[in-house]
Amino acid sequence: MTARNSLLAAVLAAAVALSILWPMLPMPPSLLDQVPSSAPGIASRDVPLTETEIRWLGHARGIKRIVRSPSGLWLLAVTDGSLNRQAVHDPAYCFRGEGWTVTGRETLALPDGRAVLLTLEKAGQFSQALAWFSDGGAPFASTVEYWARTTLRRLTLGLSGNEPLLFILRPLGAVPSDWAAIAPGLIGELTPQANM
Amino acid sequence: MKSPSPPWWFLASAVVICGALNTGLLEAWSRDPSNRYGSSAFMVWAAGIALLARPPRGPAARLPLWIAALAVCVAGQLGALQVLKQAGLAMLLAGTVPAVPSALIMLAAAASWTPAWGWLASTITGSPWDSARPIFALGCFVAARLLAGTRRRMP
Repeated sequence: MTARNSLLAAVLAAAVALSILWPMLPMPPSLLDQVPSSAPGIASRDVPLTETEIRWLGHARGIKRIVRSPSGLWLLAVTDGSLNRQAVHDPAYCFRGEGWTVTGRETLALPDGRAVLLTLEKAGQFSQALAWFSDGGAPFASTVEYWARTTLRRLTLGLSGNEPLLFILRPLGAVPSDWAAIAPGLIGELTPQANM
Repeated sequence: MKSPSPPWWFLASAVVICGALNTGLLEAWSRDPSNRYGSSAFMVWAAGIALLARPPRGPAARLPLWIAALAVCVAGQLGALQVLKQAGLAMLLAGTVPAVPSALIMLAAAASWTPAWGWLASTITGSPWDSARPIFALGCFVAARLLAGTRRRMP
């Protein structure tokens, strides 16, 4: 075997070894267990995930909560893709999968970040949902930024920061008319803060 | 001095590795309604690659490209980013097409079988344009075939 062929064989062996071993290396725990279940004026209770949701999550973890706040009653879903990155999608994708048509998508500027407001329609039914990502710092709305952060986190074995969680908040009662006024407070209370 | 043989065994091994790292595509094509035509597009694309691929002229020809493609795919595995894994596989196979413009067209055509197609199309137009996937792949193949042989070739 020539030196070049030996080198190429080593490249192949390294590719296989890295592909198998790297995902098995330990990573810091995620913030999912630190998602606040209560805050001043806010109370919540967990709701069990459906069979379909459990199947979609795979090895990923998720929580679903009914949240009562001064601004109304909400359904909060939080997804942690630490153990299955593919379980976390663009929020619009989740709703399309449930048969909704996404008729509007608006980025809401928050005092310390961004969230996305989706307008949904299904069989004449109108709804809206607020979605944001957070790794314990400022909330952000971009799915591409989520991909970049999770990829960098895995490549650095967690040194670049926490795994961002996906939050989706839906009104269980009337759809609010002024999301811009409600969103900052709700997001602040429902999002865990990382210890920097 | 006799040149060493082209490292086809390296290409074959890299294709196996990149293919194994991309088995998630099968699940995406079968489970996701916006990816239903992804497998058809892949078959059209792969058939096009098979028809356009030619052996390299030199012993080390295209080796850097194949190594880069494998590195991209493995980086996608380490970072759990499917689109990188798919890009690596696409680079590897499109890199067997000798005419540079044709190879670039087939690389672009690979978008047709990726889940990113549906996400991007839905984000921009509101529709996943799923059934357009195999048509796009076929159109790119025809364009690549027309260009093949008329332009500069990779060594």
